[in-house]
Amino acid sequence: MSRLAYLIWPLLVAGSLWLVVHVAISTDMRAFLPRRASPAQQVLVEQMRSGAVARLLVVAIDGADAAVLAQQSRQLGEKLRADPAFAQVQNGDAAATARDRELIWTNRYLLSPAIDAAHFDVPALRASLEKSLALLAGSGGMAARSLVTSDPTGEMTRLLPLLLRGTARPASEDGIWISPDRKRALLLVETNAEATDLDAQERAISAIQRLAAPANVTVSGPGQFAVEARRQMKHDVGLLSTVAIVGITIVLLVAYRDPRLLLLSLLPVASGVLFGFAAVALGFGTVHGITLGFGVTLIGEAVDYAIYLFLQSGARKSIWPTLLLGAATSVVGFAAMLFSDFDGLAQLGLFTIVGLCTAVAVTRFILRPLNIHATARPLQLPNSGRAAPVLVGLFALASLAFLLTRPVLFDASLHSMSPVPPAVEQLDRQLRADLGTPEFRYLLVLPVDTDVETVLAGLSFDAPNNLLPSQEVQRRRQAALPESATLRARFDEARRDLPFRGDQFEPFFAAVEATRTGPLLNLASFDGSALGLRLRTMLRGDGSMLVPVYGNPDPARLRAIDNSVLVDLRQESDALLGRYLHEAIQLALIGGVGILVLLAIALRSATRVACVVAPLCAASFASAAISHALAGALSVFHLFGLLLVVAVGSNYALFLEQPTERDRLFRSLIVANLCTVIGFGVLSISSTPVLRGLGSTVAIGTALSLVFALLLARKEEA
Amino acid sequence: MISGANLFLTLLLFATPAEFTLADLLQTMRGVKQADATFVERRDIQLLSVPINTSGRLTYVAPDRLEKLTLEPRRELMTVTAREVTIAPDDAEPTVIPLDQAPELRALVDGLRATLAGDERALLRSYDATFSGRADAWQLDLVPKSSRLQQLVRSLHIEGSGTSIRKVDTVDASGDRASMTITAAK
Repeated sequence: MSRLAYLIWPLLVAGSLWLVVHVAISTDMRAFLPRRASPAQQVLVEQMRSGAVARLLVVAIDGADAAVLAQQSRQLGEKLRADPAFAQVQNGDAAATARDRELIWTNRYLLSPAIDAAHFDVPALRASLEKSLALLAGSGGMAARSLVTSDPTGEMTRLLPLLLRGTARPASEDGIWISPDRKRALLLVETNAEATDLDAQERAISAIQRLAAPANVTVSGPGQFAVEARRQMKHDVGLLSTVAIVGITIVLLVAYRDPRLLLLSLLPVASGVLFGFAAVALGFGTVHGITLGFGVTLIGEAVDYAIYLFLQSGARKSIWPTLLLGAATSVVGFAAMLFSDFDGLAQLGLFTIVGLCTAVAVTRFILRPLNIHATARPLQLPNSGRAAPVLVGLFALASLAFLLTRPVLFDASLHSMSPVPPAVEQLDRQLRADLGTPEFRYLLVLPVDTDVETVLAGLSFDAPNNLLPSQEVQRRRQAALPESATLRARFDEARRDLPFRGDQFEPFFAAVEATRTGPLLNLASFDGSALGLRLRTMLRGDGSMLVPVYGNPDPARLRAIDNSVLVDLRQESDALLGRYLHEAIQLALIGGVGILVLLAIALRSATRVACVVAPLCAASFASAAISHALAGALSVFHLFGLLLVVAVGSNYALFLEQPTERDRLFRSLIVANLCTVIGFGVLSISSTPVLRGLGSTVAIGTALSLVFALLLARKEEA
Repeated sequence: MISGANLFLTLLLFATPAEFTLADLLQTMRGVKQADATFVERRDIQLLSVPINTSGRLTYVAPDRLEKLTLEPRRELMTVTAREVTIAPDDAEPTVIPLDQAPELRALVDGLRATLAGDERALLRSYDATFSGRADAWQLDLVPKSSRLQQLVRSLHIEGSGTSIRKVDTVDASGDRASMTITAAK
């Protein structure tokens, strides 16, 4: 059997390594979207990943007077526009929006909702000319003159307010956007990369900083938050794992007194990670980054297997039945995740199960035949008093009571996981307020042919119809334009006894004729313009469009619109995370029941099952209560921590439940737990909430598992 | 008989330096806290075969509030403050133009306000100025420095006497002209 293992194992390692090299690690948020997601949730995740809002960065330049800031902003804008990483850069620079204005201007007779057959008949033209005359006579007359000769029917005046809905209207210095206090120049930068592509976001942000130098620049936005959070997490993990590795190495060297054993200890867990990755890659096609991160932590239990093997081998009874039962307990506990509606959780389940089975197999078939042991003297197990079980019980009950009386046990809001520091969030809000970008909470998904002006009458919203009317509407407007000779004749009649000179209106006649005989607008007409980008973010390509509704509309009214899906951005993300958390809790409870059934079958004694389960429950309640007290509420990361507490703690309880070998086992359990407490304990001082939650729960929970298991252990029968 | 007023004027003439400069004019302008006047304006627009004639009242309150109330041919109130220009016709919704969002208009308004408030630095920031004449009959010619502002106004010609502005002639980029004659209210 062992010989076979030595043959198969290297082959599997080679195959898995091939997969590691060839299978991409995905960061696609869809893995954390339920398979049966509602349309609103799909839109939400789509927006978080590739929505224009998510890809937008606000750039602020400060530290100089307004005129210098404007100059720096203009230069930075030009450089960024030349960089293919950025889809668009807005800073008020008129040169940058020239193409947009030209598009609207050239196509005003296709875009204007006022165009119909009656719009160019004599009475309507007469009314337009009288209006123009009043405009010329007014205080703004000087500026209106050139507009009147090209656009006497006033289409631009009608169009601009319609098309500028939803765009930023900040203050300006020499035409360049500036904060109202004139201390910061502001730019809006849209990255081509998706918001969740953190490597690309990081490159984009450093490009901005490099191109802005030596100006003093600040970048803010979802991409920046995510990049900063990842940097912080990487920094924490790097620093803290160094501390942990040094600590664990010292403990193991002291325990083994043999450096070879130290290296061999890594074999089961390293193989577990490798095979777990390979299994997920084969089963799902990709491996999600989050799966990998949490998976590696969850099979941390595998480090213990080698410790048990090397430090318990002097035992009279084989450790294998117990070790196998311990591993099986963990596998059953995680198995429920396989059936999750979330791909992310299912991946995590498969990873941990394959990882743990691999680790057990490697320990059994690769390490054991080496027949190497540490020379360890038995350690006298301290005798617990008779009152110990009562104390443990009281402690567990107090923890449970504490948890059950919390007003908020689990916090599923996005905010609870958001590592964005309040000061950074405050700055972002300030910059957005300076920019005057309209905020929206509601996003409507509507069929593209919806008559939004009627359906949403009275509300402030942005819709693609204004920018790109349907081909049918455009054709109707085009057909309403009179032929040049007809138009001239009607115009001459309309201006009779008005003081307009007839020869001044050639630009108007030319524009109408060009539109009448020219092409209609399509999406491609907007290529290379900021408007085109806005259109692309609103049109979904499946016959539906996204319509942001500004201000505080009545959600009931929006929900009542036919054929629509309403996305409440604030509530929907919390609901999605809530469902994720809810399912994780459910699966953990199912796993717990599975563990009970397994133990009942394996131990065949209610007393023995109770001896194993009681310390686990007590430790879980207590560490959950302590984590809650530390963090204010529990999150899904605390839950993962508790799963690990049960997985690791069940081994302690199973070993200690057998009275005969306790003194011999005791040393290995202490060493194993010390390693776990060091490894996770250091995470609890991290500045990242995710790592802190996981670290403190596991460190406290496993330590308590061991203590409680000792206190509750049956006394050896004399 | 030499009246008190004549005596005052004679003393003033002797006290005035031989050459009256833009700085001197702006210096005296700074003393004006409020001014009321009536105006008659004639606009020659190539687009129209007849000139547009308007008339009404002007009010200036230091340092930066200017009101132009057109009474003929159509009543309309234009208010210029440091932050915005509001044009309120009698028969339509007012149009508010924040100066922050209209840099060219801001430069135009700044030039006008700088002259009225006697702010030489602000004036010379946006315009090249040519000044000539005496204290009681001076001419100020302003040409915008930036080409973008020139698209709005090609040149401004202002005539005045003492602290009173008598005439403002404007020529825009296309050659359209506006000439405003101002009479100080009693």
